[in-house]
Amino acid sequence: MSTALELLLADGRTPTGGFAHSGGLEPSGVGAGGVPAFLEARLRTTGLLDAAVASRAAAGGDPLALEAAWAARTPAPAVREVARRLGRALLRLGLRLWPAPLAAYAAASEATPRPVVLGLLGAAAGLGPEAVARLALYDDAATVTGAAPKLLAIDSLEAAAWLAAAAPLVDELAARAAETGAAHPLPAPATPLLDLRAQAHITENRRLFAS
Amino acid sequence: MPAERALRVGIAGPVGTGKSSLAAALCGALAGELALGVVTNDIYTDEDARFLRRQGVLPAERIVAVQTGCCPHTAIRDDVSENLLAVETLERAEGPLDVVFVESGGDNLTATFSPALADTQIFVLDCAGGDDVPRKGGPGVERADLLIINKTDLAPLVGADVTLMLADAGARRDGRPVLAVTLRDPAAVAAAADWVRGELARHRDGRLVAADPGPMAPHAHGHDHSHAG
Repeated sequence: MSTALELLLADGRTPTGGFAHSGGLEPSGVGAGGVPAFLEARLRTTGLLDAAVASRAAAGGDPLALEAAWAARTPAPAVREVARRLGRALLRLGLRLWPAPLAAYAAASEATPRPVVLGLLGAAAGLGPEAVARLALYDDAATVTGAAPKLLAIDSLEAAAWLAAAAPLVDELAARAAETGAAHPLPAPATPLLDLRAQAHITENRRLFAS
Repeated sequence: MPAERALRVGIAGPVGTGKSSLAAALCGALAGELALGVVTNDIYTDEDARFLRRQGVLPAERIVAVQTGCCPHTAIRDDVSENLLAVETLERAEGPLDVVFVESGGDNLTATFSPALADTQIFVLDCAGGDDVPRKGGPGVERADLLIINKTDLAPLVGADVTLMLADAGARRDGRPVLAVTLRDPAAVAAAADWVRGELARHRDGRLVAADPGPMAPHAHGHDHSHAG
């Protein structure tokens, strides 16, 4: 595996559309003091699900079956649509860097949810399931902390410190997400508040972020 | 090779120069003969998309707004993912379309479209923004496929010298077209629409190759290598 390719996939400068998203922070109404708790709640719920799906896709799981399992655990249409768009943007990158392993999936999938696409890119880059799970969780957290200085009256260094403080949790959850077998089914978190806010957000006509 | 997708026309330029009005005027002039779509990039509202829908020049579903996370420049240049997906989604849902206009959020003089997003692009200035702007130059002013200097009717009111603006723009644009107009004038809108028709013809027969104005002006070094350009 290549650590540098792992960094490329984690880098916010890699053009995959993430800059236009806030990971649910904008519609959350959370103030600066609440961001670390918001971050943790996301990571432990939807973050863990997405990471588990990504790691299974990286480990060779059937991508279309994983899409269906992920969609069944992601009830809000707005959240699925955002994941589809972010997945398509990531797939553009994948088709440029690793066309051969991704072409069949690109032709077969309509839904292209980001976790599945990330898993396939990770596998193409030679990353293992846990590394891919960590990428998924890190990106989820970095999307929130990257958007925070644009939404809240904080120094960007504060947001970087929140991301650093979440690192042990990201590592712990990545290990858990990569566990498979009968004792470790795909998680099925219930996040009604995130879902409702995401659903309301797409009809807002004053917003900075796509999600 | 003949084009199989819509011509993508980027419209960039500083805030308030008339990008939305230009998009609306072009749609009004061309909707009778061409299938059109518009993608707007607003900074923090969908004001521009709603403005265009209110004009009634296109069906509402042909006008979509993209959010840019406060980064209008990034969304048209460094990471065009959101815009490209919006164009593709629009074409799939409403197509086949002849032309999709992509209107940038108002930005500074260095913001131009990536060739990955726009096949051709219009940079819009206005007289009220200061008659020194063409002299300042920048990639859009110097190398956009079309430069429009709008609101010439305001020039006497704000002390702007349109002749000077045209001379400065001409000196920097190496023969590329400039229109000094007020978009309230139907003849000006007709001239801009003619330019779009010309670009569409070139796109359709495969002659149009996106000419990237670049994010930065060409520059000279004290050492001896050249930059491809």
